[in-house]
Amino acid sequence: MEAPEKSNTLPVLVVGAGVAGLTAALDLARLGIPSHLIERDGFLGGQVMRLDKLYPSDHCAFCPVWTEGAACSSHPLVTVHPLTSLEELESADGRIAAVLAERTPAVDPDSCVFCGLCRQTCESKGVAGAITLRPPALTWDPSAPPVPVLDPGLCSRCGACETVCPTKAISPSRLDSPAKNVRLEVADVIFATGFTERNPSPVAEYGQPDHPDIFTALDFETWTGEAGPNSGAVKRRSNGATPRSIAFIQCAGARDRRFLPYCSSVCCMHGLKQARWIKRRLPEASVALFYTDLRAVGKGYEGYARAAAEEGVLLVRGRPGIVFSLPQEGSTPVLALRYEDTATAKTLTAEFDMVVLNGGLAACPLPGESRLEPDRAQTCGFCREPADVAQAVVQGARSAALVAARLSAGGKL
Amino acid sequence: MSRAPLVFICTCHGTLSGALDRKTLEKGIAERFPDARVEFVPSLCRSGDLDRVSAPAGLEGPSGVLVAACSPFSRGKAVLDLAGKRFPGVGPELVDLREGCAWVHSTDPEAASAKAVDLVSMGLAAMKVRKRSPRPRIEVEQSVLVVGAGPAGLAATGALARLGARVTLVDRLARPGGLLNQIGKLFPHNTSSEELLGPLLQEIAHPAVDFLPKTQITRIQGDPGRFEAHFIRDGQDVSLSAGALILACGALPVLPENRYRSGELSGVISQLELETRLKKLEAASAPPDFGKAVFIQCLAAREDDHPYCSTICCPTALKNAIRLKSLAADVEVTILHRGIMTPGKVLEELYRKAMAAGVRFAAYSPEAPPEVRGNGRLSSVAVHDALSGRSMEIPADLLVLSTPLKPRPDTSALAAGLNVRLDNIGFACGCEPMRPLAAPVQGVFLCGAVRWPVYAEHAVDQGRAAAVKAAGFLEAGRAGGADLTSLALPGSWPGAASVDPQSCSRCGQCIALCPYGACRRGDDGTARVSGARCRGCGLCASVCPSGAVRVPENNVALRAMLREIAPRMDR
Repeated sequence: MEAPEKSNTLPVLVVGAGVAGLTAALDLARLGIPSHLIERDGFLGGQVMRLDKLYPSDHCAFCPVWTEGAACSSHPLVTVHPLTSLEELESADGRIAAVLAERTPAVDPDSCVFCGLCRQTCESKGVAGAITLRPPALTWDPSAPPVPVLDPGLCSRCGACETVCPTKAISPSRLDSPAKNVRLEVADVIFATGFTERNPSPVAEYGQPDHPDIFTALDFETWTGEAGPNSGAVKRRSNGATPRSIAFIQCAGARDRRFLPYCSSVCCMHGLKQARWIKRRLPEASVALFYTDLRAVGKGYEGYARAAAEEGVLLVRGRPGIVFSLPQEGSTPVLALRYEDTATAKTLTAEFDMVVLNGGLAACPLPGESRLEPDRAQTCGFCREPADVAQAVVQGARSAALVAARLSAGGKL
Repeated sequence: MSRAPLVFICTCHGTLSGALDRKTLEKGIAERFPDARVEFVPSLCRSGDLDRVSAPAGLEGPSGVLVAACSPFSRGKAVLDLAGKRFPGVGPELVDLREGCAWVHSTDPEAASAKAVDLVSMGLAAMKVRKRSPRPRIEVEQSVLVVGAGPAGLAATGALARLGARVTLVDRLARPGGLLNQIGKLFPHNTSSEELLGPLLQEIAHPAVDFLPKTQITRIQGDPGRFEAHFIRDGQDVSLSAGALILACGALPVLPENRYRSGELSGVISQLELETRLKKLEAASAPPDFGKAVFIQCLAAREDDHPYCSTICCPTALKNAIRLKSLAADVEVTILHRGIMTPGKVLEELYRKAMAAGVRFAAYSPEAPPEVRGNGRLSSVAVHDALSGRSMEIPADLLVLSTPLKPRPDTSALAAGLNVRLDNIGFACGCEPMRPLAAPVQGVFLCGAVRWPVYAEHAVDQGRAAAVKAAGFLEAGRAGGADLTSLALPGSWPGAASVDPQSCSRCGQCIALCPYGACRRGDDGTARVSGARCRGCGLCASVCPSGAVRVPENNVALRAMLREIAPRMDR
């Protein structure tokens, strides 16, 4: 390869550090192209970090993604901006300027040593709950030690924690300081903003949103995850009992004109994965998955779906019409759902202890994308088209290829 | 003047003093490593604390530096970096005394202190014997060989040329384009295959690209940085070498064989044949010569003998149904399916578009497949629609059978030589999930239907993605050879394995087991390890019956650590 002109290459802005954004930034860096990788959250890896397992390998989700994140944050050509959002993009005369808003956390993650003295002091002052040590599952990063987090509403700003902190990592006054605006000139922009799951589910007929035994899929992943609050045990959220039956409802809020008209693509396999894991942990429990079309179309996915059926997951073709509580005296209400088994054309009612609503993942917006020339902005990952990990990383690399080709040849692909 | 190991113990701002007893630590370490110098420091992660430590008198420099602090997942890595700067050239090592010791045993300070002594001793023992193997730098030829000139291979070639690489593109056939040459219009955007191929062909008309048509690859051997490919071209054996490889050799469409009375009744054709007919009809703007068409999906797919969904057949059927409808709105099209597989946004739109165009759907179950009726000529298809619960007989003068793509039989031979694993169907596997287009062996990449059935637009995306990976590999090796660690996590290189030929029993177990093809038989029958292929996983060392394999990080240091605590392991 000939040496590309790198000395005067402006950095590329990568918006979002999920698997697609990480891949794009790292692939650019390997070609010698610098980038700014901005991330709304305080950790790298995006939504995948919330997953306990990945389909179809059933491997832990955390390690492979964390490794990419670590490679990214230690690469000299990648500047990582955590807790940062893209405010504005300006484009004039072929130059692109990005305005970033960088939030300063009340606890500086680089100097906190996680000793917990701040919380002890706060509690001794009688301010209950102002400082919580977030368990790893809720920070979505199972490797992180419990991080002190200040609740802006409960904190009295007394400053006692600041006095006791051995590294001066905590400062309640930062709760009230505005986000810092940073202006960067960038060559191109790669959007990898990902998706959000609506929690609680917007589908009204699937029960009260605050019912403790009705979960959204990502919620359920955390609740039952091995790094989650129950260390992998499957329990009802209402009474802590082991559930006798669990229903997974696919397309809850997707392929539905009221919410998201499209198919979120990843939910069939995600639901199958959760159903299989539940069945393995609770062989006695009845596990049913209600689907519209079982879209197991990727590499190894059909075999995964077949294995689910062989392991005793009941696959029911049909979209339940309603989920409701059956009042029972003396114990937690059982949930019931009414559905048509469209394979047999029969309408039935079944009782379940827990219900998981799977589906309806909405792409995140691409702020300022419309202001850019089409060849200066690439999109990858779920915000481009519903994608699972394998598809998102391909998209991320593709975006890097298009940007790198434009920068090194001054041409278009 | 002597050289002794230096141990820094971080008290984490005094927060660990409660659990770890300073005197116990000093005494315990001195008993086992009398020459080690132990320093207690309040906060190793704060820059400056290490600088304040003056070099101990009488030492010309430490023989090694062990930092006993917190887990590498909290501040440990930062501590190591600071220690590395303070003591350049020593290669400090880390022991976790906080999360893994003081914190988990906070209620039992005595046990915590005893464990801390063990942990530090193990660290010192490992440090003593660990030999940092030189990181292999391999020469990387600045060229890429792309196998297959379908949409994926063309896109990969074009992108690589633009990224500045020299590329050789080979294909069995005379004409580039692969399976796309048999297809008129492409889903989801109804572009013609010429519209997709045209720009790709322009991209490969580049001075850095050498296109070799009518070239059949016979085998590929060699190591990352210099692979050697052998072909047959014009009846002659030819070979060339390349630094990296991209396999884009595609897949084969399955033929309906005798299923659903194809070959027996006239009017029963494959989806691929419908493509050809539609292309002609559209060129002539002629209405179809049939009025009632039925499509059957999932032939030779999602069955026990073919347990996979081929991804592309549902969208292809929808696309062709819409094309028929737009040629003549009164053509009746019914798709008999087992679930319409259109994941995502654009494909789901295609499904809706087909419904809006008046295409009818009926779901059959594999236990009751559709029955084709006719005598010499197709007359109707009988099916039980699982959705409505009704059995129906659909009059038809054309039956279109949707078949999947299957792996090319020659892929397996190519893959075997490169340690590319095949899945249970026979498609090639990358390193799922984060590097699906990269083979386990460095410098080998996959894209397109060789990995899994994929539609043309995605094949192009994959080609470009594979190109940027290959370009990254070449770039790593551009200046004076590739440091393979730059492609992995920095600092994670455990050292390449080596074999002591004196102790090797020539059993060959390591050769059979190595996932990267790094262990090979030398001329004398003993095992040898290719430094360019080895990733330091240590499988060879674990299986070697005679202890001839040495992986510096894994077995030597680990044994030293275990020996350090062995006397106390019975407790």
